Amino acid sequence: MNSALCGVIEARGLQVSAGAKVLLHEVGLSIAAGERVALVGHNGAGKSTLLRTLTGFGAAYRVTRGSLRVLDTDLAQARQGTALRRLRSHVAQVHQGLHLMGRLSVLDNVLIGGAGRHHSVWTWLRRWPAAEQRAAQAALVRVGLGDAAHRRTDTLSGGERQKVAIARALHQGAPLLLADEPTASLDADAADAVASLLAAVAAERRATLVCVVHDLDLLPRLAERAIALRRGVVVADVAVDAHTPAQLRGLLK
Amino acid sequence: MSTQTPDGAAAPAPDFTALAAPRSAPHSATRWRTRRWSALPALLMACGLLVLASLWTLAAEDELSLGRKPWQNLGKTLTEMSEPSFLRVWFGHPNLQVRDADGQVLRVEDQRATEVRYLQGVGRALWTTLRIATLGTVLAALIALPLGLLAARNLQAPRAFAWGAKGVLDALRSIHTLVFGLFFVGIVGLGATAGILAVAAHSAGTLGKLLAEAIESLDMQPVDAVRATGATPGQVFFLGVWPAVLPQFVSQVLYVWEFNIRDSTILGLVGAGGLGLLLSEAMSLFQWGRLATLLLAIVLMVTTFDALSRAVRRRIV
Repeated sequence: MNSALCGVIEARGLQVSAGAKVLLHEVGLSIAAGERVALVGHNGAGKSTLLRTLTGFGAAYRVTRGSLRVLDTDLAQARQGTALRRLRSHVAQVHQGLHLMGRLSVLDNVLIGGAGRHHSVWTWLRRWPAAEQRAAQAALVRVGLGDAAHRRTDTLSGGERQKVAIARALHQGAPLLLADEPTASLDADAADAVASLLAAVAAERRATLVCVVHDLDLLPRLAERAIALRRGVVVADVAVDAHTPAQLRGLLK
Repeated sequence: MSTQTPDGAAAPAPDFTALAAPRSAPHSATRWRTRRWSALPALLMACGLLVLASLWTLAAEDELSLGRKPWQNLGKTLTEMSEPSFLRVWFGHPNLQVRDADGQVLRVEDQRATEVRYLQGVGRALWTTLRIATLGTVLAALIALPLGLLAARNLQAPRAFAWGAKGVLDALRSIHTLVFGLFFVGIVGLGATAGILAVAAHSAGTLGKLLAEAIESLDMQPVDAVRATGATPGQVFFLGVWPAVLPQFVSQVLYVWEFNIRDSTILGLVGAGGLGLLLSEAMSLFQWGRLATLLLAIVLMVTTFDALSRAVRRRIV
C-alpha cells in the first residue's frame, strides 16, 4: 500500500447527507502517513460523521457528492462486503464509552483486533492461533495491563477499559488509527494518561492518528495538526505547536 | 382536562402544558396530553360495553347458570378432596372387604398396597412429564435460535427471511400447546413423543420472540466495534452479539422450561403422555381423593422446579 505518496486520507469536495439534511459540506482534506491530526468542533459539527464515514459506518447517512479515499481505497467502490472489510481491517478504532464486550475477558477483547486477519471458524469460539495470543498479550503489556488479561472486562475502571481498547487497536496493527473522543468519560488524570498512551502508541507504530478531541487541553498531547469543523464545514486547519493554547482556543472555537 | 367539542374531538391544548414543554418539541408534547385524556373515558366506556354485552348475551343464551346444586356439589367435592388418597398408605385398611348388596364378600383388598402402587404410577407420570417438558424445551431452543436471529431487526437479515421468521414465530406462539398436542397425537400417535413435539412447537415461538427482543435491545456499540476490525458477519455475531445475549437466552430457556413443566401436566388429557392421563382418569371416575393427590404432586413439582430455575437464573444474569 503506497499511502505515503497520495496521503492516507484524501477527501475532495466531500458531501455527506442524511436524507435532505447535509451533514458535511464540501470537505477537502488531505492527511499524510504518520501525521497525528485532531478534529475539533462543537457537538453536531460533523466530526464523528466524518470519522464514521471514513470506514463506511453510519447507516443513516451517505456520501452524496465528492470523493473519499482512505488508504488508497475508494469508499464509493468499497461500500460493503469483502472490500469494505479489508479496508476496515487496516483501520484501527478507539471510541468513547462502552464498546468492549463486558462479559468477555480482557484478553478475549484484545484478540478481537485480529478478526480482520483470521476469518477461520475457530475464531467464532474465541480460539485464536498461538501467535495471535502472544501478540495480544504483548499489546496488553504495552498499555500496562499485562496482569489483567484474564479479568472480566466489566470489572475494569473506565481508564483501564480505554487502555484495553487501545491494546485492541495495537493488536490490530493497522497503519491508520481513528479515535472518537477516547477520553470522553474519564476524569482528568485518566484522560491525560489515555491521551498520552494513544499518541505514544501511534508514534511507535508510525501510524497515522485521526482523533476527535473535545477537551482542547489534551490537544498538544494528542496531535500536531488540528482541523476545526463548524456545521459540517472545515473552518480551520492549523499546526498545533505553532500556537499557544490561548491562540488555539481562539482559532478553533 | 380539556373541554370536548360536540363531535368528540379534543379542544386545543391548554396553555400551561405548552409552557411547561421544552421549546424544541412543544407541539408533540401537548398533542400527546390532550389525546391521552380524551382517550381514557372512551376506552373505559368501550370496556364497560364489552363486559355488559358479554353478560347479557350469555344470560340470554342461558349459559350463565351454576347448575342445580352448586354449593352442595362444591361442599361434597371439597370434603372428598380434603382426604387425599395418598394418606391411605398409612391409614388405609389393610384388609378391606368389598361386598355386594347381599353382604357376600366379593374380594379383599389391601388399601395400603393399592395406594403404594398408584403412587408409583404417579411418580412415573411425573417423571414422564418432566422429560417431556425438558426435551420439548431443548428442541424449542434449537428451533428458536435461527428463527430469533433472523427476526431480530438490528441484525439486518434479508427482508424476506426476517418477515418469514417473524410470521412462523407468531404462528407458533399463537397456537396453544394443547392444540399442538392434539395435532401431533394425530401424526405420531399417542405418547410422549407427541407431547415433546407439542411443547417444542409452541415454546419455539415464545423463545424465538424473546430472543429476537433480547438481541434488539442489545447495545450495538460493542457490536459495531467488532465490525470495525473488519470481522466477517459470522465473527461479528459470535464475538459481538452471542456473548452479550447468551446469559439472557439461557435465562429465558429456563423460564420457558418452568412454564413447560406446568403446561405438560395437562398434555396427557389429549393422550400426549404424562400426568394428564391420570388427571382425566381421576376426574372421570369421580375419585376426588386421587385428584387431590395428583394436584398436590403437581404443586410440589412445579414449585420445586420454579425455585430451582429461579436460583440458577439469578446467578446467570
